[in-house]
Amino acid sequence: MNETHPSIEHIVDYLHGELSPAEDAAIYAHLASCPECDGKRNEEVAITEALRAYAHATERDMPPGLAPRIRSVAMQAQPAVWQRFVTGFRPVVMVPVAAALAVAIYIGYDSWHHAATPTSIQAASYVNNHAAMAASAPFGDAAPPLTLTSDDATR
Amino acid sequence: MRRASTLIAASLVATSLGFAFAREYRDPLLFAAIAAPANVSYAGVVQVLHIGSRASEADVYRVEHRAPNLTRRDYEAPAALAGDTVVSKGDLIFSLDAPKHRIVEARNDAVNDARVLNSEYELLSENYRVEHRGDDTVAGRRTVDLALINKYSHRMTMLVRIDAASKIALDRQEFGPSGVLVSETRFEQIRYAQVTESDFSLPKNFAVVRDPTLAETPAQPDAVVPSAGFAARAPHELPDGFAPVEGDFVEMHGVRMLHLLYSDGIRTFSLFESGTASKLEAAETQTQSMRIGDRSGEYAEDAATGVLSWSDGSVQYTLVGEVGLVNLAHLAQSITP
Repeated sequence: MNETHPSIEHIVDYLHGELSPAEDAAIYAHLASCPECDGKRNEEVAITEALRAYAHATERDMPPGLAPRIRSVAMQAQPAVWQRFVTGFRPVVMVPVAAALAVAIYIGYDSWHHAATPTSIQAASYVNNHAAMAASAPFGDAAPPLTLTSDDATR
Repeated sequence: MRRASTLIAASLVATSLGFAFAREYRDPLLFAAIAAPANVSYAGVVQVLHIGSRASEADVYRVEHRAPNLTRRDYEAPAALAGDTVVSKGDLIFSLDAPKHRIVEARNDAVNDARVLNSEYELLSENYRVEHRGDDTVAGRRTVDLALINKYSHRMTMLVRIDAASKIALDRQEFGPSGVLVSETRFEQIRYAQVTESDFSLPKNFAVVRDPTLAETPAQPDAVVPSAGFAARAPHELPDGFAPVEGDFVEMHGVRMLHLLYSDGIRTFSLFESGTASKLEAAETQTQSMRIGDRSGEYAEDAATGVLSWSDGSVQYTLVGEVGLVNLAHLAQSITP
């Protein structure tokens, strides 16, 4: 079999539990046997731990009484209808709204794009599955070594 | 056992359609050869050749078989398979992937069950008559040669050279619809000896990865089609002598598919169906566009095996088999007229 190393993105996805069960198992098995990739995994773990530790260390509590004061000021300042309308066009509101729209459009396009792009399946994957089930026919060929399609079944 | 019920049902279906059991074609030597692996242990070297119209493929593996149902194959060639090992134990099959230190566990469909053997022999003998073709020598052992003649096309579909003493099939040549050789499986060496059970032990330090569909229970094609979860359908017409054998679900690249197998006792073809669109790709040869009625499809060959894939807009269909492009295209038309 061809030995291929997972990409760093795959290792990161593996660490975050974002792979399919088959991919997860394949990476798990690979890491157990590949010191090089296991080293990359450990580096990623170390970076994540360092960032988490830094975030914890730099956390600051808000001064006592700040939150109630903000809430109180917000309740007192009730703008008129026209003021609220104009406020709606201020950059502080419009920029996040525009960003949210852009993200929604991107995700929508991306989903549509992926839905329109069919999964590529190698002829060899079909043939291997066919051969495995047909192996019991009288004088049938022995079933070929099984590969997981997550590994890419081309052999 | 599950295949037995399916195949027996298939035989009954064939009978109800008017196929009379051609018992006069039954041959004790042929049946003994089909049943021999359940009774005879051996070790040897096997060479497998698949000859396609565009590409051919050869495998060489060492085999150790302990009757009735322990088999180990260690691949020596081609380079892509060299070092791989397959161990089958009853109804499970384990593919050992040494570079990745893992074992892929799957269901073994090639179970040496007496009822299965009887049923499969029944299907074969319905569609083929046996002609004795003299003697020969394979791997230094005397063989008796049998030609299996398809009773519809009257062409030889398979030539089997059977060890006169052990009844193991030492060489089998399969011929395509046009009569040309499409595959050969031949023992280059064989010795009959007791093979110890420890030869089939699996390495303990390997991670075991289960095939995602291992838990699926195969059933008759008619039974699994309604449970596909999409508008799956079976062929309206089958090539002469073919009967439905088995159906289950498989997963390829994350796409769940219905898999139906059909056989005439020697030749087989599979129909895969999915509610998810997919595109056929071939690693070593170009896919070829072709028309299936008013739909466009893609055809590819993997050695001698043809793969034809098309969609009706909601279901993706893929036919796989060594039955020839004409038969595959005809089948495709019968599925989505």
